[in-house]
Amino acid sequence: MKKRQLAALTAALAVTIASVSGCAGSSKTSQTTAESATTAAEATTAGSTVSPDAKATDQTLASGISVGKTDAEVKKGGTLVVAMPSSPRTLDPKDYSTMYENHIMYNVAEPLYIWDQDYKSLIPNLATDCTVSEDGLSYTINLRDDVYFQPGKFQDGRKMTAEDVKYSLERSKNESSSDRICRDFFDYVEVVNDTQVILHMKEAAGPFMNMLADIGNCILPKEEVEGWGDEFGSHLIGTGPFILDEIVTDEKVTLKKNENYWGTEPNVDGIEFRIVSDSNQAINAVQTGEIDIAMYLQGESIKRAKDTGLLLQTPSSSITFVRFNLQNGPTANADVRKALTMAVDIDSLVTGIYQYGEGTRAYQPITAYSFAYDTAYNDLVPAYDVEGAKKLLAEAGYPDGFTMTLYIGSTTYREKMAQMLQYYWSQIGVTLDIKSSTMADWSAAVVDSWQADVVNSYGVSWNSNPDPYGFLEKFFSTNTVHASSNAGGYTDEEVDTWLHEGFSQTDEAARKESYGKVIEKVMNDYTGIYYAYECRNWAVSEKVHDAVLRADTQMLVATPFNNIWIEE
Amino acid sequence: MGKIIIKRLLQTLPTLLVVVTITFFLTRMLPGDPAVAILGIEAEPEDIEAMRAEMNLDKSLPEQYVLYLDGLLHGDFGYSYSYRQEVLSLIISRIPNTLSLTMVALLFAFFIGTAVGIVAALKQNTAIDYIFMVLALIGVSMPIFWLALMLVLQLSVNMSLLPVMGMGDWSKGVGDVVSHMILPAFCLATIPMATFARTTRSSMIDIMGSDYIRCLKARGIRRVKVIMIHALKNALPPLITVLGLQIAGTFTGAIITEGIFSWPGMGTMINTGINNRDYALIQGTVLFSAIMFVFCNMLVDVAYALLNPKVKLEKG
Repeated sequence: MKKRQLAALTAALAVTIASVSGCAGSSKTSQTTAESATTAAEATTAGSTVSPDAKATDQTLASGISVGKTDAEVKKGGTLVVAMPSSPRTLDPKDYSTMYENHIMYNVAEPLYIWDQDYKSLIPNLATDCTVSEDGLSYTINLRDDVYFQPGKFQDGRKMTAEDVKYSLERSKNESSSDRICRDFFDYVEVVNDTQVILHMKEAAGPFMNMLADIGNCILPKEEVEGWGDEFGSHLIGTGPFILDEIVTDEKVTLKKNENYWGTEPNVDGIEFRIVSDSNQAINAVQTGEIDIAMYLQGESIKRAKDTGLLLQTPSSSITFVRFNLQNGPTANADVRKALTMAVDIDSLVTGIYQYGEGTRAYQPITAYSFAYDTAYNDLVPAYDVEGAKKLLAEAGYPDGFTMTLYIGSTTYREKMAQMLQYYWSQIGVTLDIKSSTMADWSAAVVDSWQADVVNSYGVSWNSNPDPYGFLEKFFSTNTVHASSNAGGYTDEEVDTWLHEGFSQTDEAARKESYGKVIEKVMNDYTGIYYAYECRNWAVSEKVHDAVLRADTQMLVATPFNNIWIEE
Repeated sequence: MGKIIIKRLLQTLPTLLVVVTITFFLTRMLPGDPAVAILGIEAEPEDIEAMRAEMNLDKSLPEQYVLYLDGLLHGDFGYSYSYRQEVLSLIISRIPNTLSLTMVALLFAFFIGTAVGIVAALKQNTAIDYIFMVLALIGVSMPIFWLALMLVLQLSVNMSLLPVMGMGDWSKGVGDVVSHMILPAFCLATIPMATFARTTRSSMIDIMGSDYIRCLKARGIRRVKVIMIHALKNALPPLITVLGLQIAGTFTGAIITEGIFSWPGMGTMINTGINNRDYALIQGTVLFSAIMFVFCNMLVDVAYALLNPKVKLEKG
């Protein structure tokens, strides 16, 4: 009976996520499972209903970010070889900045909470439970008492205690190169006893709890951190299922199984992250068996993975968009922005850019995984209407159109998007001057030049955890006007008030209401075209089972919800 | 000769200073903020400012230049923020990988190219000559990345003969290292191989038509001896000049080849440095490449003098 309920839940989640995503299914334990997930996504996208029984036979959870399990006998042992495009710079939680570092760190170290498999809510990890005070100023967290650090040079694998939690979280607040813990609001950690801490806040901060799941807030042994000093980034020690074994820069990073791990024992003996910068070569290596999983596939390599039945694809938690300059030039006029939006057939735009299904239609300036996401707001995007756009543009004082710039990073997806916009906007007399450059150059240009009416619009993809704060606050707060996230210069007193309300409450329903007002207002202001949720794409060898591609694209090898194993 | 070599080396110092200066200012002219490249576009503005200060980017350009030169004089090539390591130690750790690949590629190229050139010269205007020279033309013109992917598809994916990528592991035996070396070295060797073949052919045709070779043949000396000892020795000097130039060319080609085959050498590192606006790393690798280029040219001059006594290394 329980299994049937789980099955029903499974299908319900599949319908929900697939309806906002549309990317192919993302589980892979066997070809059969992957294919059935794909069918589910296709069926739900087309608007048909999926029978719970039909979908749940071999899946414990299903959604756009699901995992599958087969009845085949699990094999233990072997090393999982994973290809990723670049070496980690540092594995020190206070300094990491790229996804490549994340993949390794998540297997070695652990935060108090982790995201569940569908990337929507938190589940306790090193913590057992948490009580938040009514005023949102203190979080009382109980800790597991069976967690041990991996042995290192400065300790021999001792037990983790509340003192380690205090040390690690306060280090994150005081020393991190990026804010990963609401550092202006988080005050200090009080150690009650070995298994209980109270996190004290200066002011209530709604996103704080979600931030605890950031790997930058993993729990570390003080003696190792201070013993290694600046070299800790090459000698990460944590409580995770794997121990960092060796880093050979630009070649590989190897991890071995932590025999003293408190959680589920990993099925594989180790992981080797091999650095492969060419994604075509990564696919070749998956086909020859040199590599088990190739991450970060793009373009033609996605097609090759699809054609060979090796593709695992899921929509990520990022949003891809074009934002307008809201303070200078013709796009400072809301009617012009509305006309530019109406002139674009966004469905065709998305299909044209992502020809291998690696992107799906979006509407709102927020990830579809967020609790603040509500499909009701989708209707606020004006419908495709070229004649209406021309009329509106004429009424706004531009009957003959104008010339505007679009700044993008020089990736295939952005360049395709720019070329298609060039076509759509030419139909209403607007000439688009495309400025393509590297991301570093792009950032400098949009931040430095938007005030001077040089940057009329810019295209980018933005990623964050699903808390609305990571999107709405960054995009629309007056505080972020000079940052790259809000280079268009959006500022509005009402919106600032709602953003503050959303931030300073801990009740999710209340936060959703505040953030909902923000979404409605900014969409009615036509701040940009939020057109796609890009998918992440892996090629997974047929011999790999129970691989999960979650929306945050982490390489999860041994977790409460999956445990990868490899056929001989 | 030792003194002259030392003098030549000293003469290269101004050249290197020019290289350092141009590289320094060119990297600073690149648009984009290295701090953003490292921290990502999601980073907070104050964090970016702190990183800029740590990298000395908040100082004026002349101040940064003087600091960099001062570091170089003390053997400090700077600190790579992409790798979080000293640039010099990074270069030292990578150079054996790149040198082993380029040296094997050059050996491939030199011996096969020279042999093909000799045969083509001896069979001048025959079908063999035409076939070899067309192959040489294809070798010079073929993009390395295309050839590499085609070879990998055929030899690795379809026929499972060679590994797709990587450098091999000595702990798994010599066979593992050799099998990993074949495809990247061959791809890297195609352009210099074709150049060697064409140069050898042209040089050998000239020499085989000269009076002293005709005289040797008339005296009844064996054809093999005439070719391998008398003709080839005199055909070598132009090949040495080509070799000197090809070392630099092959080193540059290694940047692409290493990327395709995930070969952990200088090329992979330079790519990372450029993508991350890692000023110290870009400057360090360009300076090192310049030093190597100058040193190779010096070796070629010396080898030229040793092979041909008519050529003297001028004093001063």
